[in-house]
Amino acid sequence: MTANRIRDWLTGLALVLAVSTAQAATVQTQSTPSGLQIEMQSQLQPLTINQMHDWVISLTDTQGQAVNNADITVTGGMPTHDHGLATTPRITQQLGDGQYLLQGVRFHMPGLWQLELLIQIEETTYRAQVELNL
Amino acid sequence: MPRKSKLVGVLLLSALTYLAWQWVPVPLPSHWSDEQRALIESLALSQLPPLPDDTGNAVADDPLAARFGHQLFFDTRLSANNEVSCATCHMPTAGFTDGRRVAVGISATERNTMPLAGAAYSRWYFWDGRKDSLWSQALAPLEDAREHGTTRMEVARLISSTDSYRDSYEQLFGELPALEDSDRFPSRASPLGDEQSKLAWQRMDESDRHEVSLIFANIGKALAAYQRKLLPGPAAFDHYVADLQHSSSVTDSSAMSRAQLAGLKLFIGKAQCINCHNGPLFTNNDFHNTAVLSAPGVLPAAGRSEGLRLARSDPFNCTGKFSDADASECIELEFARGGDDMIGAQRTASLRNLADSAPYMHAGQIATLEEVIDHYVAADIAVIGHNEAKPLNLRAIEKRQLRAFLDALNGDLATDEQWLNAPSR
Repeated sequence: MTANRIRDWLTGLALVLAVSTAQAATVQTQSTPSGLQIEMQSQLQPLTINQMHDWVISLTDTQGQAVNNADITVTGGMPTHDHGLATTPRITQQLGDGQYLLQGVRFHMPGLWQLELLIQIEETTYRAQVELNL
Repeated sequence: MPRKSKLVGVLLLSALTYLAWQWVPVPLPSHWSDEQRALIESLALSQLPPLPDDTGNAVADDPLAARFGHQLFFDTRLSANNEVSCATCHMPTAGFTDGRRVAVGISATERNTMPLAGAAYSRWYFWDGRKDSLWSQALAPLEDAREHGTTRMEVARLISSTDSYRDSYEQLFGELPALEDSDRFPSRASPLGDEQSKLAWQRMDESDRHEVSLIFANIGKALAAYQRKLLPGPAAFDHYVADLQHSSSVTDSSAMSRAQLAGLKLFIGKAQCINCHNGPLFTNNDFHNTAVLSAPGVLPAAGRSEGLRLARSDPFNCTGKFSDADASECIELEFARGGDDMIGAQRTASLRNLADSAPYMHAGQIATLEEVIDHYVAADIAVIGHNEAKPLNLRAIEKRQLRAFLDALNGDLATDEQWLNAPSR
């Protein structure tokens, strides 16, 4: 395989990954310190810019049990532009079964976005980060 | 060969190489990539969704309200000197702007007049987003001493004393209260006016003040219904995108020149313009600090950090008692971002019909589009807050191509002629 073909193949793969991340609009990550599995699902499908929308955040512990009554704060921004989110989203409702409704999210630029989650459960503070390519 | 001639030769060759590097165009691709094509199509006017609902304005799409608003928009009696109407600065013959550095009503203001075509698509109004609806925005200039310089009491009196206005108003909003009792309703009164107007306002009964503010709010709603008719029409760029549906070749369409096509490629790529100037109106209608210097002798504007504070405390906002929206519908206001993060951030302007809206930026600081492009290429450090834009490594020819592309965004408004002229009385 020539260098050019490898480069084209890698570019293609990167595009497919970026698009699938944006369209699937479901992202998963682990907390630091470990102990929580976090899944975030956009309620806007496909995920597009300039539209206010909600996400459902699901928390499970290492045994796969739902984690309720967590205090979750979501911030974030675009690392390449040194700016934060366009809005100030917040958890407005606990949906039960370890699920939380995050309202007030709008991405106003295409590109790489990071969402930072601060999760307080009793005396422990967990952190997590997800990336979205829009 | 003498050493001196050799040196001249090397210098000449270097200069020629530099000039070639600056001015030789990169050939256009034969086809857009899938990603480029998706970005290009996302900018086309054909992708513009229907007008968003304005839940705060129950008459937003009422035809009578639009006709009433049309009359009000051109009425100079809505001013302290009977010479200023909305159309004084938002001139239909000049793309609903005025060609001035800053707007001049009764006297000069500090802000560049924004064009109105497609304004109804925005979530926020004014450069700093101090208003959260088109109807609420329409009220502020009326009571600004430098714009119309009138008061809500005088506006209410004008509606009440002009038969055709009274009829339209009562059909739309219900019976007008009797305003004849000058003890209850002074001739000039407002919570925002000069000292005398403010004093007169304070002396009014709370329920009378509410009646007058309600009439005033409704006038804003009629003006908004009219402005919802003002929409941008297709430009050369939109014709190009339409042609792309029949041929995938980059250069098959004659709608745009080769320089403009090269500019489009830069716009969606290397120049990163599409980051903020996205969607069919070429704006995300959001707020960014791009280190635009304040006008000479003027302190830098606080921008969105101040704008959101004002919007939240505005009695005419989405959650206020004059809004027709349920508080649960006011999600933009509820989840908006302000604070220190937004210092110096101004609203992204649409790039459609830039030919009409020079000079540019919130205080008209930059005279030409060439200079605007230079501003973004340099991306200097911001005086307040921080510049979100990063320097662009654009060659001279690329800056010229980008400038050429912006000309492909000029087009006639898609608005019926009747709305573009002063109405007959």
